[in-house]
Amino acid sequence: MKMKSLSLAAGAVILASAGVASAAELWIGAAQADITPDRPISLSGQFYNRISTNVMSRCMANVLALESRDNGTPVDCAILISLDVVSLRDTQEEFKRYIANRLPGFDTNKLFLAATHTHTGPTLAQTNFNNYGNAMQPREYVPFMFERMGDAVAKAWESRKPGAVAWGLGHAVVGANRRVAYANGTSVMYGKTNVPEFRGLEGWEDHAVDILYFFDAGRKLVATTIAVPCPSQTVEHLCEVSADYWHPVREELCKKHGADLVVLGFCAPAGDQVPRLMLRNAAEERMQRLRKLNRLQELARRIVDTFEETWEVAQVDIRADVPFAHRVERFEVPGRKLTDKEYAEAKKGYEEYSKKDDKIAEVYGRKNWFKRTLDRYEAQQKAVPKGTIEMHVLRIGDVAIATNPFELFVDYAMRIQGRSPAGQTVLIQLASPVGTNGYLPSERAVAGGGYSAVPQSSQIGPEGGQMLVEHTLAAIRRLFGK
Amino acid sequence: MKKFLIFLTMAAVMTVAGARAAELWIGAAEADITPDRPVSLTGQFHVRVSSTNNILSRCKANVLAVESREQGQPSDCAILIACDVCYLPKAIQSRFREHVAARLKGFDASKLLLTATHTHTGPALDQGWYDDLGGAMPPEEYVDFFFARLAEAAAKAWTGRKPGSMAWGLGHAVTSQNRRSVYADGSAAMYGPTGKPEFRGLEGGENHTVDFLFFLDADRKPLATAITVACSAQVDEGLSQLHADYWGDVRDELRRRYGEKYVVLGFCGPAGDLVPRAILRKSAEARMEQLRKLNRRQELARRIVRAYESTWDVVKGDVRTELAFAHRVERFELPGRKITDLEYETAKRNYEPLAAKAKLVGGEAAHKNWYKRTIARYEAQKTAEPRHEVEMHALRLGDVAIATNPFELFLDYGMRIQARSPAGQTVLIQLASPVDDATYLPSERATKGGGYSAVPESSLVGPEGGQALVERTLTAINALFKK
Repeated sequence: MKMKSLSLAAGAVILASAGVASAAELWIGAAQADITPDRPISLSGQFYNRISTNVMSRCMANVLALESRDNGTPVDCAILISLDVVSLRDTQEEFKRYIANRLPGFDTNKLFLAATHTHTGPTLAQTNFNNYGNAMQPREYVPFMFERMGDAVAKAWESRKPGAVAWGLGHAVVGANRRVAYANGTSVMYGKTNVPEFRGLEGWEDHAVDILYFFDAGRKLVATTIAVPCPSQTVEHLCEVSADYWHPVREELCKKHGADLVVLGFCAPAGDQVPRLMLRNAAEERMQRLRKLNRLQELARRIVDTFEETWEVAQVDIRADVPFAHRVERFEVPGRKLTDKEYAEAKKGYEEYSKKDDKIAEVYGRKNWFKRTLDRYEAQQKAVPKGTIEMHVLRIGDVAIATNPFELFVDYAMRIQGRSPAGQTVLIQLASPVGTNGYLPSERAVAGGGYSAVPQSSQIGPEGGQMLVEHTLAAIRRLFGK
Repeated sequence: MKKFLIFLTMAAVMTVAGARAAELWIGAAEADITPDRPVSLTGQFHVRVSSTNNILSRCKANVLAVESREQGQPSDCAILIACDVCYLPKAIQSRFREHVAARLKGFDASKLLLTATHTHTGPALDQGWYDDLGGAMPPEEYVDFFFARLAEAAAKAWTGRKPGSMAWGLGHAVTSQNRRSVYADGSAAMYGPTGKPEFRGLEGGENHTVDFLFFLDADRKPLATAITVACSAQVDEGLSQLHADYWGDVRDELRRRYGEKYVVLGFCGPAGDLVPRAILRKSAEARMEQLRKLNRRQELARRIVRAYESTWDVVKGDVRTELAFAHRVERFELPGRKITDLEYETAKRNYEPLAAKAKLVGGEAAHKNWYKRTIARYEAQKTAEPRHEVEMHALRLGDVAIATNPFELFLDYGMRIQARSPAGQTVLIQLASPVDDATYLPSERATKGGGYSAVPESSLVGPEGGQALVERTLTAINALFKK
């Protein structure tokens, strides 16, 4: 098997290799698909099932196709798709199979999907909830989404033309660390901060915004990628279809730069970040009131501001010929091993929910959450747990882009940022999944516990997280020849 | 001293009762505190002497005088002074209060407070820190000059106070990064390398909120502003040039927009573990600065001014002439940090070779004193529990609470106060109103990780005292906002 022959000693399988990139002509295509269903649908992002009652803003798939050509000959390529959904499990693999026939000659390994993590987007997995009532079933919705997305992918790829790229680093205070640490060493996601035991937010916050601007031959802005280290889950509890803050961002940028502008919103590592307020709530809310904006609009305002401010500067450095390379790797990392104590706690949780009516979606969800943990404990008696990761690493000029499939805690992003040889390093989480992934908590988060750090929330722990860091850095170094 | 403490507490209780809507009188002025002779600069262990013909920007002291009047009668007051110095040594504030008392007739000097912007290129005020300043102006001589200039501005602001108004708002500017790198073995290092495999992340959070207070005269003309940034002004910390750091650029730009007489008080929010230099994403940050044709200091000023404009644009519709005003001044003791046997041994081991040296070079003299003081503290704690005296100012201006502390306070403590404060907006100011040696106040996690800023040499008060400070601050704010 070809895949096997490309296996590295370290255990990585190179699905698409790329060495040090040399300058090449950049061809660019972009398109957008409306993936909003015309029927009520289940929304994913909470343990309980929410069926949409209306559409607050339309969910989209935004597609960017890139190809490098050297003396007219294609050298490398990529298709990046940003989707307004909470997460992607097997969706990418299914979509690759779906799209293969529509893009003859395109190596589908070079395509990846990334979720914006909106909590008000359509549910993709039929097994997510147990009863969808009269709403559109996920198994009905996915073909609908594939068709729409397939059209956009084909359009972007087939319409690619010589273009140019610019990039820059902006700042917007969007995410806050959501893990609240207490005097006894424990941490709680969204825990109370107004108690005497509160000792601080557990980790760092990242307010950098990585922006790439893509142009056609006439230097018209045709697409942009914006990576914000904050999931778009401002209105996470609503029963309305919504792309969350990405909708007003897109709307405003299209107003300023043209209705055809394609905006790919990516979520940078933000497993422990959230767009809701964690501190200074009263002062932040007052400012929103005075601006006559809700939280979602306020965050969009900040992102658009930094987009414009960065654009003012980056537009003097537009490049048509840039080094371009796209490396795709699959590798295994050690899975998180459950301790006996964690198993006992999961068992207790499972037994508690087993007594309840699992026709209630939340009971069904929680019970399965614990059940999967018990299954993992049983499985680890026979074999060491492992997780498979697909990682895309691209070089575009001085920029490195690296994906991971997790809700990755910012500690890991810092490690990559701290050691990356690239001029600018863009990290994208919840991307290119090849199975269920979940949170990837840091050492300090595991020590503190709580949702997002407990074993139920994470299949991979700090050991696997550090390995992800090392793999990512090795791939970036390879592309930058360092 | 006991009598004085009681007086301060009494005064505070009296002012709390006055936190009703009152007419606001405002005065503001600026003093140039740049000496006309070479002077020693504070902020590093080694001696740096400025030259008079090479001043990068002038160091200033900006003064705001506020008085509330109910039915024409003064009910409370405050004078806040932001100085372009690294820190204010012990007794400087009390000496200045005595110095200025005669010029501010009828003003309760305990209601005046000094703060430092923490520029590392400002004049030294502490005579004892360095052993040889060459031909530079001695700090004691500089202090006289500093007091004279400061007193003039304080008097001008106080006597020039008139009815005015105020607005406030919260903005954001990414100015700082956490400067403590954590490693796989659990240790931490200030400015530790992030480019090695053992790097596990930055120890704590960051705070990119900027608190703005806007003061206007009776004609609604901008008179003064107080800007609190959770980042010390030490971008150019290694230079041997007198320099107000990024506050110089912020002031220049705001004055260009709002008039030459606009008074800008730059305050430092809790930022003991924060720094304006880029710790991560250095090359991308540097590229953006190059493209903007700005250096780091100018870039940070640009961000602060941008936040200022964005905030002012919104809050100018909510300007108040009458608001609740009260100023509470408290002095209390915090438990001091106890030095362990191991920490003592380490300090001793570091001190002895320096003590044996006939001639000390570079930062050795300062280091020697640093370890010597730690050894002395260890000896002293055998006979008495270490205590540390703190003066805290808590003010209420409308829905805004302002609370000071004299430390380089780690952000964790700032978070605890912010989370539990009943005020609509809480402004915390560090390196303010010192009555004792003001040093770092590291958090629990920093103390565990160690490194400069968290070791006992860097801190007279530890996490126990830090939490006590949090509780005292909240008690004072709660009293001001009691309904």
